[in-house]
Amino acid sequence: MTANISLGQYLPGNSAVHRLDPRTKILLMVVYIVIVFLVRTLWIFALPVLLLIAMFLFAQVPASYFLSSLKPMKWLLVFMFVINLFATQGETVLFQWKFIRLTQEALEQAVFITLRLVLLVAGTSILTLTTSPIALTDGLEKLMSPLRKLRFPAHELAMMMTIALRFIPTLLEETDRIQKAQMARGADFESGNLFQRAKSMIPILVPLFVSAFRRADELAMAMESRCYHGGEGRTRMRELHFHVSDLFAALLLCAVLAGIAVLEKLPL
Amino acid sequence: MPILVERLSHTYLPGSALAYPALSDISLAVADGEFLGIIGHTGSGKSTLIQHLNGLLLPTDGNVLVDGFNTREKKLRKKIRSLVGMVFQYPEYQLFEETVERDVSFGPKNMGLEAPEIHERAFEALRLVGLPPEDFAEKSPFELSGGEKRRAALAGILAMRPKYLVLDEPMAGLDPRGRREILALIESLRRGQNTGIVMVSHSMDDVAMYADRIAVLDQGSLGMLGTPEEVFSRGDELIRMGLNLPQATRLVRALRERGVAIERDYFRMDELSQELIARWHHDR
Ligand SMILES: Nc1ncnc2c1ncn2[C@@H]1O[C@H](COP(=O)(O)OP(=O)(O)OP(=O)(O)O)[C@@H](O)[C@H]1O
Ligand SMILES: [Mg+2]
Repeated sequence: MTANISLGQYLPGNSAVHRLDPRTKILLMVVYIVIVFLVRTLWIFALPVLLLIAMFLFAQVPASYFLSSLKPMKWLLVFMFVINLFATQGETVLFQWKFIRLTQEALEQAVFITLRLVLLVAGTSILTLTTSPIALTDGLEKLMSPLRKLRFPAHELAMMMTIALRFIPTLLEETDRIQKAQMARGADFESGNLFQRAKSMIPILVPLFVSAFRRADELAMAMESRCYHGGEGRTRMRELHFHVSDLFAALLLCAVLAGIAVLEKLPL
Repeated sequence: MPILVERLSHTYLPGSALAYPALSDISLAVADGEFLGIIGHTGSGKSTLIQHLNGLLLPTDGNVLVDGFNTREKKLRKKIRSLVGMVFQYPEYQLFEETVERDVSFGPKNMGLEAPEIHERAFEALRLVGLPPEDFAEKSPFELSGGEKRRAALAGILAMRPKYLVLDEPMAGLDPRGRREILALIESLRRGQNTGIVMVSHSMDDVAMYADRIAVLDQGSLGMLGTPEEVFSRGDELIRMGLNLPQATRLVRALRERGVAIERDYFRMDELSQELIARWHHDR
């Protein structure tokens, strides 16, 4: 059940991409998403694809992670492809059989959407693969900190995210353990109608909530006993600094962005 | 009929970038009424191994047969889980019902027993673990103390009257008296009902004291399998695997280093102390 969660997983390393400032990576991820949505011509997709390959190479992430980041999405991808294939209106009919109609436009649309999704998921997985959750929330906090002037609780939000991220694996593990313990007592989560199945979740949910609340309590206590009192006047152990490589990365992505913008406008 | 583990290998997340071979080529058997101790360094695969014994995990390679039933067969799994009771580390976190009695009844209910029988089994199990049902049956499991919760959870397994009982560090975090009582209970189940016991433990003394045979796991392989004498006589290898020796064995070694000639090895404190007392009388 908890076996193939690779979405949002950090792969420790020391590549050029790992060493980038998390703020750069977050901002560039936004640029990357814009790039992916900007492309409207099939052959121009080559650029973001090349960019993605370059990112994987620079990040020294094995290609198998690319596949495992797509694995949880495989049915969504298939679904999107099929829906777009048959639901898009088009002129140039490629194939017709009774009421099933396949058009050139629909095929293009389906390939577009699927390719875009793949690029988005794989690209954003680079961010989480190369940035530790702590660095990620640090970066977000820094980026959001101008909003503090408007009384926006940037630090608190970042802290909540850090804690949530930190405890996701713990909760998954816990769920797995409780589920196994109840299965050992003959609990059956797989058969019965919807109502029976929902009811069979109670033996998992009750202990899970009990332990989540206990953990929250313990964590709050541990934080307070170490004098945590919110973000006011708090200094950091690791300050974030921009380096030359951040500039290079930003220039690279902006160049690709500009290139695509120009190519899309050119009447080719 | 025994539990048979045949050439079992297990890989977590097979075929992914995170594939991790946790067990390789393990073969062993647990006979009726036998006490098998499992020891091994942290991460050596003990918990992974025992979760195969009732089909919670399935082998990547090899087979596990419980009284001849293969755990791979989905239809047999319910049967297998009623034959093999499994007590996890910190079992108290599986309590969920409103009263202790209802929680203990969860297993028997899943087995499809009739209400009077369930009630009888629940009370019997509570008595066995030392929680008199008159006082505890109607309590909420969440208002029990840590040790009482542990017992209530154990009762939940015993109420299924398993033929084999598999325990993953059942004594972790208990006080010395709690430990002794749980061990005594396990031992009495074995003597009384001929229950086969598989116990993972970090206490060399406990396995030396109670186990008929000991399986030593080392980085996912079966490092040794034999009687406590056989296993603990290979002390240096155990220490290399990151394990320790029972107190008695360590004491014998220390005495020998100081020139006291003790002929045979000891691994149980009670036997060694008799030997030492006999010597002392003799020397006087
Ligand atoms: N669900 C899982 N997914 C991936 N790897 C796992 C999983 N569970 C355990 N492992 C890995 O398998 C190895 C064996 O784990 P296991 O829990 O069986 O060890 P153990 O001998 O019980 O250790 P301990 O004495 O600490 O309880 C460990 O290295 C662990 O990291
Ligand atoms: Mg374990």
